[in-house]
Amino acid sequence: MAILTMNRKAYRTDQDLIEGLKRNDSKALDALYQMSFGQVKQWMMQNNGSEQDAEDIFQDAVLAVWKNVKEGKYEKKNNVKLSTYLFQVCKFRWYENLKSARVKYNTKLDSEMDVIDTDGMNEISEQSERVKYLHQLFHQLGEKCKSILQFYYYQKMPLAQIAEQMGYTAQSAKNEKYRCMQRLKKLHQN
Amino acid sequence: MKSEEDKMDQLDRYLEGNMTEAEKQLFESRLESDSELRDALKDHKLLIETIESAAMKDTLSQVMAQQRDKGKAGVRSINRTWIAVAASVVILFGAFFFLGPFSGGGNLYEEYYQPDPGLPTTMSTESNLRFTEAMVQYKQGEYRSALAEFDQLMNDNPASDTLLFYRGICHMELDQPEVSAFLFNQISTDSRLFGEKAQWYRALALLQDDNTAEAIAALQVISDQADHRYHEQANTLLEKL
Repeated sequence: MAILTMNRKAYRTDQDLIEGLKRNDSKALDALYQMSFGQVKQWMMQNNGSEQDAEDIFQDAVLAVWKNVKEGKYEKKNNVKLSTYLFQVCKFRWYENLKSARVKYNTKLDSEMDVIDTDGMNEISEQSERVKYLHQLFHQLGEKCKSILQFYYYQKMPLAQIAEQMGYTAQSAKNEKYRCMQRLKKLHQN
Repeated sequence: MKSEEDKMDQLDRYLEGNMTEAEKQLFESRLESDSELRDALKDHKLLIETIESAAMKDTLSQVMAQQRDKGKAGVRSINRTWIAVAASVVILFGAFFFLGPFSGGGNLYEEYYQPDPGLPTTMSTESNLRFTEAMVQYKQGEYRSALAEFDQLMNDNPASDTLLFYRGICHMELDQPEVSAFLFNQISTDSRLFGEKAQWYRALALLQDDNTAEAIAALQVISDQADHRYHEQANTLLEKL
């Protein structure tokens, strides 16, 4: 598959990254990590955070940014570089975290937060909460259902290929996919 | 009458952009008039969002874990500043060693620890060229790159005490003492070159890891052997614990 063989060098511009994120390409995540995590970690360490905190915050932020990209909300934030945006989201999330934990943070952080465009940041927090919720819901499904649905809707694998991989006929793969979607729907209704 | 599967299939094809123009027009005009179809589409989108979000979160966790491991193995390049800092840290450790332990302040592990000076690298044959290169990096305080090389060599030579030992020191330098203690523990106490060294550095790694109880036990073993090359140091360190 072309997507799988595409190497990291393909992600040279923000536009490439955005396209990659829309395709759910893990290489885009890789590129994003290499581009931004070091910076985020360093900043977090200077602001009462641990390495673990940095990883948690970064993960949250990437997922929220990914969702905004998917939903076309990022492109509306004209001319903000993806890495800048991601860093701001991390800062904002950590700032919120410190505030709620009532940890003493320095006033330097306060003034830094004043500069951040907090417009849409609350929505970001909701996005990461939403991902966590959907994640636990999905993992209530059985392994077979999770596989078939991920193959089809996440990896965009053709149904014929899924059937071959999982040992189904084309028709039974289609039936299984339907059955699993119904299950997932039930989980949402509960 | 369409089966439920076929209806879902249609929603998929619409969202994937796999409809012909005419089909799409028909579908969209139906969407306007048919509220049931609108709800079905909305529900369907929610399910897809669920699948993608869950899978994306799992993928990201995997990507981050892989990158973290790579970072530990030193594939990530380190900048010159870091090397300079590491080098000066080595010089400081060396100074403390020669000036004797300073009193008060810093923790005991820092007082007693200095990285092993490494092995001579002047004579190298083709076969151990890679080891030599790794050793040069080690001596320059480039522990990340050195570790990456040592780890590679380990694949060909898993039982090498030399590799176990220097990987252990690298992990201490990279502040991963629990890994170091684990590696040192695999070196046989009979190893002529590294057996006693490994025992001593393991004790220091345990101290670095704030595992005082095990550190004391490890030091006691050394202290009990009068002819152990770290006998004296173990004794004085034990007194302070």
